[in-house]
Amino acid sequence: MGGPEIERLIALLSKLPGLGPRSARRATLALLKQPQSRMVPLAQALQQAADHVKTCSECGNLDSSDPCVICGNPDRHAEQICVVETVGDLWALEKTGIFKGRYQVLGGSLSPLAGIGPEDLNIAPLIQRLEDQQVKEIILALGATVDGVTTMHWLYDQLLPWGVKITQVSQGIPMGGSLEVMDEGTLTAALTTRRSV
Amino acid sequence: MLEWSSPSIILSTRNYGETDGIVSLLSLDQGLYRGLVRAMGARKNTSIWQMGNFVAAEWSARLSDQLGHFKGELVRANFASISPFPFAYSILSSICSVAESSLIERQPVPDIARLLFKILTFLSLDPQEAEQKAMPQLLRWEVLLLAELGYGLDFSVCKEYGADRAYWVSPKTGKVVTEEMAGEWKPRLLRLPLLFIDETDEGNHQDWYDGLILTGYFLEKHVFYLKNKPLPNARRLLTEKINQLL
Repeated sequence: MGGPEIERLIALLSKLPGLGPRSARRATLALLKQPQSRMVPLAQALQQAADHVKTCSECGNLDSSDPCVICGNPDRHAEQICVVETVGDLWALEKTGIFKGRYQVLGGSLSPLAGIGPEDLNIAPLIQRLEDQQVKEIILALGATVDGVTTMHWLYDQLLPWGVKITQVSQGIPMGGSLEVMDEGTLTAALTTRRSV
Repeated sequence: MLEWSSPSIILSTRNYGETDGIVSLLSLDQGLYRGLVRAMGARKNTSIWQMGNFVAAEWSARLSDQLGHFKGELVRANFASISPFPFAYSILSSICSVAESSLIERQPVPDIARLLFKILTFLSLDPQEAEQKAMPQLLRWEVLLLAELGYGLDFSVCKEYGADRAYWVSPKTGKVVTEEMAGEWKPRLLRLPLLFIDETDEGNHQDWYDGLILTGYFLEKHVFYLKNKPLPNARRLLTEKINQLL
């Protein structure tokens, strides 16, 4: 089809999430059509990101500074820590702009099938922060999956001796959702975790 | 085209590719089956394919030696009602992981499946009070599982002597003996809680712990050792949880 450079580019792009060989070919073609305006800036941005982005030693977020902008921001409340599975989850919560506390990225969830055990989770910095800082509340914002729930119950047991308030994000009806089209699992979760009006 | 449809319990799921998944379920008529679920990660499907849920499952494949495909309709969302409660969730994880890793694939085990349906219904109806009702059921289910797999405990002596005395189990033979029969060997035997003999007895924390040690020993020795696997992590964690209550 093309030279080895093109084949290699397609092969590398097709390994990215959301891209298969066909979409990787389309992306490669789009890049090659305008190498100066698309390909070179992309290559430079990739190189810069690879050189400068690092994992925050406090929370596990990805940023070009360590500690990251969230941990380094004195206006963020140190007494609230929201525990999330991945950096993607942190970014999703940050987009809401509601949470003014700090985060802890676990880097995954407990999964016997995938061979992820407690020792693989980034929990040591959280324990350190519980010892050093005035943490009053830990918010567990983990997925409503088997792995997420297993991790939540395990973390709850681990954090209980510290005597801090441990909360969990609510589960149930999404915004704009109508009850009659909702699946039974979501409705059950919504009823189980109902709260006073 | 080979196909069947049957009420089933989802035992485990794992992602396959970006959106598909491989599901293990225990069917009432067909036993343990695995199959591919297309678009398992899609929003409308995620709440269906969760551990412990009851589904009306349909399996189909072109040839019998193929993995096959599942389609399913949610019948009871047990995962959503049980998962907020740590103890009930531990029981659910333990029972599903033991069933998934010990049963023989595609071999019908209707008694095992029926009792599992009953236990999970108990758990989902009243997850906060789960331990008192579901723990004795879980232990009896594990004894039934051992018997189904060909390693049943020998309770014949209990019929002879009745339920009003202490019994012990030989770790070597699985035979139940009375305290007098045990004699000097008692420290080497495993205690048999009364709940295994008397269906009305719900037991206490010590009974559940002893029961888990007893069935865990035989599951490990006869089932998991042969598969070169340890007892599932969830089963081990449940034993630890009960131990903490003592």
